[in-house]
Amino acid sequence: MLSLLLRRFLWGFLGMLVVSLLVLGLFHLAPGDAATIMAGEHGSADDLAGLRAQLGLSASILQNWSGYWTNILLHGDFGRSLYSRRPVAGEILTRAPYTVVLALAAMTIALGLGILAGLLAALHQGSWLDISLSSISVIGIAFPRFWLALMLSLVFSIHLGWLPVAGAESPRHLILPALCLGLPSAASFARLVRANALDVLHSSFLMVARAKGLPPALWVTRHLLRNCLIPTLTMAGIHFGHLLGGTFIIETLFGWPGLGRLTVQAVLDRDWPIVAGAAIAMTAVFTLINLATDILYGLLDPRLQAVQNGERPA
Amino acid sequence: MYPHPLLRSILFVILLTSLALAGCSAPAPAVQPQPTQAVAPTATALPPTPAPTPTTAPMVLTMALSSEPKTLDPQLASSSAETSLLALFFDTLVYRTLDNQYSPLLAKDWTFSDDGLSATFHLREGVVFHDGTPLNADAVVFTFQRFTKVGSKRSPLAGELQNIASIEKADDLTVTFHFTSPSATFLNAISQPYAGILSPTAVEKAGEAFGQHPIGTGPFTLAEWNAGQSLVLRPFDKFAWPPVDVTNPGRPYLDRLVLKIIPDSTAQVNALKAGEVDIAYVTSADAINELENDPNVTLLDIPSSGLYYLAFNLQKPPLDQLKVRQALSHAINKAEIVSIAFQDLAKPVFTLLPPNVPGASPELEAYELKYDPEKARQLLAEAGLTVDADGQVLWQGQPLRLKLITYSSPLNSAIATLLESQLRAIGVGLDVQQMEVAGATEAANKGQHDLLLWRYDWTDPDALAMWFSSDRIGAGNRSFYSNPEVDALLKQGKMELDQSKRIPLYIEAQKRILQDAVWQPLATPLSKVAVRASIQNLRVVSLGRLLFNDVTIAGTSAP
Repeated sequence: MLSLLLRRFLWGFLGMLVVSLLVLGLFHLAPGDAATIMAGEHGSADDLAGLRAQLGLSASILQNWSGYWTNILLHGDFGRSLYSRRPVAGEILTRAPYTVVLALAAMTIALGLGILAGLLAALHQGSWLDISLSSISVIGIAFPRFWLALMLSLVFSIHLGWLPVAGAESPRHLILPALCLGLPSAASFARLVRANALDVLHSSFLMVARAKGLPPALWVTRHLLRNCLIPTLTMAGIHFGHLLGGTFIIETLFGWPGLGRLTVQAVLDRDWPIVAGAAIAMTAVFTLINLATDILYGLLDPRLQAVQNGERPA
Repeated sequence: MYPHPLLRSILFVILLTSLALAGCSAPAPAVQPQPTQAVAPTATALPPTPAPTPTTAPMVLTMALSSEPKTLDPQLASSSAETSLLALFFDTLVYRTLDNQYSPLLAKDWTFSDDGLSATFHLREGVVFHDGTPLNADAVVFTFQRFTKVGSKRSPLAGELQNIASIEKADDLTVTFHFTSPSATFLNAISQPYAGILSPTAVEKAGEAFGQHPIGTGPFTLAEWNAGQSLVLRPFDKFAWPPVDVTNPGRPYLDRLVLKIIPDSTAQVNALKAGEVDIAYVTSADAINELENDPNVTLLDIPSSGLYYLAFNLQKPPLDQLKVRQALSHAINKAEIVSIAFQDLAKPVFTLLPPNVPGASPELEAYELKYDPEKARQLLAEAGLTVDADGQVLWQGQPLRLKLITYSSPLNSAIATLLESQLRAIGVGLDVQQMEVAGATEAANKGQHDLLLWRYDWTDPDALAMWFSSDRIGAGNRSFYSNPEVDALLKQGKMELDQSKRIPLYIEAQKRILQDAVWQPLATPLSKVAVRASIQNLRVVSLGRLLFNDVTIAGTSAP
């Protein structure tokens, strides 16, 4: 278990090194930099060169990268925004919780609705319920999120006046963005769970369980659900990445003050320390989620737990 | 044994992420500016006490912002998101009215020496900054000396304030500026929000963080800055030096002004309709049509100070030939661009200055290269360009294809599409390249374009010097245009203090530039600000700035 943790963190750290190098490389390749924006059309060519030197933008990629990591490793300093001069670490720590909350809320919606719909559809295979749930989920996967965002806010905010359009002042503000982010994933989960549940329903061990007279509540939760959850969990790990990516659009549409919006704006402003910091934070979140998925595997599947504990599989 | 640095950093990252996760349940608290002595008891972070008259709801006005200001330091600000906010916190020495007159603000009067080489400002007595520091000559000297260190490279005023030789404190309330050359643009420069007077004590205390703690003499103080969400402003209780355009002599009536950040323009309109925000700028015709019929919303016009233009790169053959530039200019149908791309939310222009700027004279219409495709074809033939069997214009045996660079925005993309079809009509191909602002600016400065589609906003005719004088090549002069006569006129205009002599110089310069067909000016946008009907006495002034001093909200009682 300990070696698993250590291994994961080493890989995560390696990921951060690579990701930050990629960010710096892309910023060097992209046309224009923060000095271009600051000098704008008013500054002269000399002003531009002066600003570039002042902001440390004239160094090479590797110089930048090694300097960046030296500061992090020796001083724990992730640099400052080129514009606001605020420390990047502070900026990210204020924004990241919002993104994580949004992604977790969306994941809860996705898993909750997805598993429920998938199980219902599988248990009533071929019925009108199955057909309507399956078609809704196909449509759900196909919907672009920005369209969903428009429709949801039109219905729930403008016409019904139940939910706020934008902001993050109260928990109610979380509902629409989380739905918007989670519903398309819920649709994918529903399809996956339905397919797996059908497999399990036709397996011999479940037939035995039902034949020996277990009440439905028990065989559904203990045998059917638990067996469906393992592939769902794999998918959830992958989907979490999608959800984090999705926050970039959703946060802009709903004025949610998370990391995604911060990053999008920083990319447009060519504020590389913010983007590098955000990429590192995202890598960290991703590593943690993968780790959590692996640990959950073990809890759900005793066979894997044995492997993780270093025992040979029987 | 100390842990290895690598391990330490790993531990740090773990700590960082666990903090981030721990913060989930309770998002981080808002950034609180340090309490200042000038802040009234209502502005301190005490728990809310019951209001003296429980029936009176506090007057809270919420305005939508499209993007979060990166800094509120006037000398570092450059984006329009920041510019429009600066005047809430900072006052300038002089105030510029909508009809381009200068009136007192922090300076009660001023005189220029006869040779125009110095200007003396007498400051208003009894003005204090938000932190209690009195406004005096030292603060003004401090502000402009800091500008030469901090803002000189990036502030839009950098060029305008370059000719200040020295600033001198004559007495406690008198400041004299000395110039290296007479400066006709000085009053315009110091009336802009970038030249707001800063509290020296606050600047020294905050250092680099001053941009997060803007302390000026303006009508509002910053109470909270919730990163990514909102800025909460409170009225400055001691405020008693409003500009001429407002009637309220004292502090603003509002109890709070909330600037809520909503990046998506559709979401802004929705928030306005749902009553979550009271004020939003609207620029799209769709939004205006939608809001026009809403009884809860009033639309106010914003006086136009912007200009969309098409610039030719004179370095790129065949655009070095006047006839080719004239031909391309004649191919452009501004009326079509206004009606389709702008959906009539603009007016076609023939001047090189935005219509409200002095010098945007109607006599320049005679110099306009009007839409005339027939003449365009004829001019191309005169320039020696032939046409192949498919009707394509040939240049050195190849079909002529020009590269248009612009920064990406839905409007620019609509304009560019029309330009492409209008030029195709005379047989010229156009490759449209849209980039983010950073990329487009760099490409334009390097002269990678044949044509440039851009917008500028400025209130003084000296803008022409930024775009057309030869010493601005590689920066603002993206046409790579050099005309000694124009240079001389623009230089003279910068130094001529007599407005009646100064404006004709700029009209003359525009004639030359229009004759040289360097730009085809396209249109001036008409934008609007949408306001909930309950909001009263909001003033819209120069550059679309809003004055909140007089604002009251119906349904809440005025103090």
